[in-house]
Amino acid sequence: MIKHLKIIDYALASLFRRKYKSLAIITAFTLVVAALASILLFSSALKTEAAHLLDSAPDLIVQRTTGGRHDLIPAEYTEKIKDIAGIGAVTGRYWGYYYDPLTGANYTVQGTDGTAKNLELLDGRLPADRGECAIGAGIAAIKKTGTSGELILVNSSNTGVLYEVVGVFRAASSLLTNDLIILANEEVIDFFGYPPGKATDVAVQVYNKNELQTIAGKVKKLLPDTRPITKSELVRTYDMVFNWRSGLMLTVFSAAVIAFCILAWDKATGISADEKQEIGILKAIGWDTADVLALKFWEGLIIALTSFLLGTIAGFVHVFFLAAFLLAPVIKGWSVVFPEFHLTPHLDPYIVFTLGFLTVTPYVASTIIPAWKTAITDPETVMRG
Amino acid sequence: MRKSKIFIGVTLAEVLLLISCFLFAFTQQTTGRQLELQARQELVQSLGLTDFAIWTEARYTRHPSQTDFFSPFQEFPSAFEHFPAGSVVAPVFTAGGRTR
Amino acid sequence: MQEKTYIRTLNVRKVYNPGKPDEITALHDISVAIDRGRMTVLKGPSGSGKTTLLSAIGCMSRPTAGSILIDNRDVVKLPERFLTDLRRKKFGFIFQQFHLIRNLSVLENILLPLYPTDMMPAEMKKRATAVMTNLAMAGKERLKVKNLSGGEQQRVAIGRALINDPAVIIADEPTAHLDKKLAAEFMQILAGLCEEGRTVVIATHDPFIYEHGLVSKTIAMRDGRLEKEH
Repeated sequence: MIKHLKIIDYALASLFRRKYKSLAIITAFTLVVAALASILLFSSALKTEAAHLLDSAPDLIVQRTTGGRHDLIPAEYTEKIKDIAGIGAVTGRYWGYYYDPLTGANYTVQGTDGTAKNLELLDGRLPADRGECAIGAGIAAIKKTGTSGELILVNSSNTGVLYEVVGVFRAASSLLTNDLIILANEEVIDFFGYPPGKATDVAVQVYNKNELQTIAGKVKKLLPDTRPITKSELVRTYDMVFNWRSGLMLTVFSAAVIAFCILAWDKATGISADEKQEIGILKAIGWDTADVLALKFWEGLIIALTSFLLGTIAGFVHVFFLAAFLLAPVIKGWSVVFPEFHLTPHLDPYIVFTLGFLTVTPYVASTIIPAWKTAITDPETVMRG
Repeated sequence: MRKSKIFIGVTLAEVLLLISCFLFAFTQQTTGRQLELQARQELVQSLGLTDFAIWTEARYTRHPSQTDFFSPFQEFPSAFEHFPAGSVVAPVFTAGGRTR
Repeated sequence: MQEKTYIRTLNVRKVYNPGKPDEITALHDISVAIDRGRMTVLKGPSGSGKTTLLSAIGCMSRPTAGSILIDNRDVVKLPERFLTDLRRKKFGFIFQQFHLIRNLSVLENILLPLYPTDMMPAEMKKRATAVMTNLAMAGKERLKVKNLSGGEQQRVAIGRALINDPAVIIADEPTAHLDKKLAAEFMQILAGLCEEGRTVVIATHDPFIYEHGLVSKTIAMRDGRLEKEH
């Protein structure tokens, strides 16, 4: 133990002897780890958030397809689905997209049947009558309106319709509601000009979650022109979306990672004549091969461990305290109405271990391995050069 | 052994900081954000929401469950047709909202 | 009673790059005896093999053939870690170029052989202080060696060689970078070490050394072979 502490002393003295180079390596390494950690933590937090929130989503969404394209679903399908054993509530959903040419933004117009109680994340109330709407915070901001304000939308007959804003969703819910306009169901039907007796899709509640796949199969068999989508498929789809977003960032970032690897490899493997001679001297004055390798191990570990710890902490702070402001431009893309990310802090030990293993191990190995050959050679041969 | 003791001290401090990040995340998940999460879950349940309001310009990200098998031109007017560039690079606007 | 001969080489041969076009035999069947507690000099011109023989005696390289007996123990076939242990405990080296770590302090350089041991830092410091006092280097612990004069650097090199309290001091061309005055001082230090009972072996082509009165035995070498002992 004492021996290793003394070897660490010497390793630190060695690194201080080339302090600017060591500092440059630590800085670059920390930034690389911080960026990797940010990407991994951000996408992991998004996926966890998605899984938690979608837990309360409808168990099954049934949509109709015609010619491979989404089509409105007849109301009588609702009755047929209700007859399947194991199914609870079956509700038609009415919603659609609305493109606002003035702002260049897309909104989602969603209907409500008026049975929803007052919500904690809603300032005001849900629309109870025609001519009323509740909107997301993003829309309120972009249209410069609010509770008791007005919202004008152009319907499918190209007629402007005035709505009174009776509720605005809070920013804390913006991940779900930022682009939402809630209208009464009848209002949505009129607005989009949906034919009577048709809904956008159907939300289904299933009593036994373990039977979900079976019931989805039954729906498909009963109504062959429908596509049932389960909640787990939704969660998986979001996983995939976040994965490809973070994968895209990792790909773009990989150039920087590769450049750093080249730098670290060059530094660690190009064991210089000076370093070789130093190893020869150490061996001549009584250092064992194991002692020399221990020295190189500590030199590598000091840099790698410091960078890994600082980088991971920096990544955590960046994502959960600074709202990932450096990643946001890549994550955002170019959405006009973009929600704030209030992600629940989430630190998966698996991510930390993987990051540690992938950063610390190669660097330490690339410090020890080049020194190994010199360390096992006779000191006289090494010092001769 | 001063240098080694300082290094060990600093490293331990960093490890403690990392552990406190774990603890912070854990407490946020179990207590702090729990109420907020419940409120959001209530929202999802009441309104029957199924999708997040991010990347609203592309159907395959705003409503991934609803994506048609073939959906070029069904996203944002004049958006790039191909994935994933269409969700990363914006189409070009003029001031009047028309696209070039 | 201790035997007079402390180190003995028997038909030691050293070949570099065997079997290759640039193969070179640095030592041809060298048999010498180094007396305990005395100063022995290996003299000869550059390329005579004296540094190679010194390295073999000091367990810094293995001979291609032959035996090396240190206190009657053949060390040639010992595993590397035993040789390292022997080097650390029995030998102190003073290299021609000193081979100090330039950006380390005087104290850090002197303590270098003790880093990979279990000796407590307080004990290490105590030893170093004693060695530095004997070498008139007290008070210069924190100075960087790159800022020292040639003579001071050599004292640091001697200090490093002595820190492990070795039985044998091996010096390779120790006066190559010293003027006459410093060379004389150096010989005085070595004489003191012999008086303490340590064995000193020096490789040199400097007549000031090999003609010095303190030298007990001179072994002349040329082209990897012995010329004569006297």
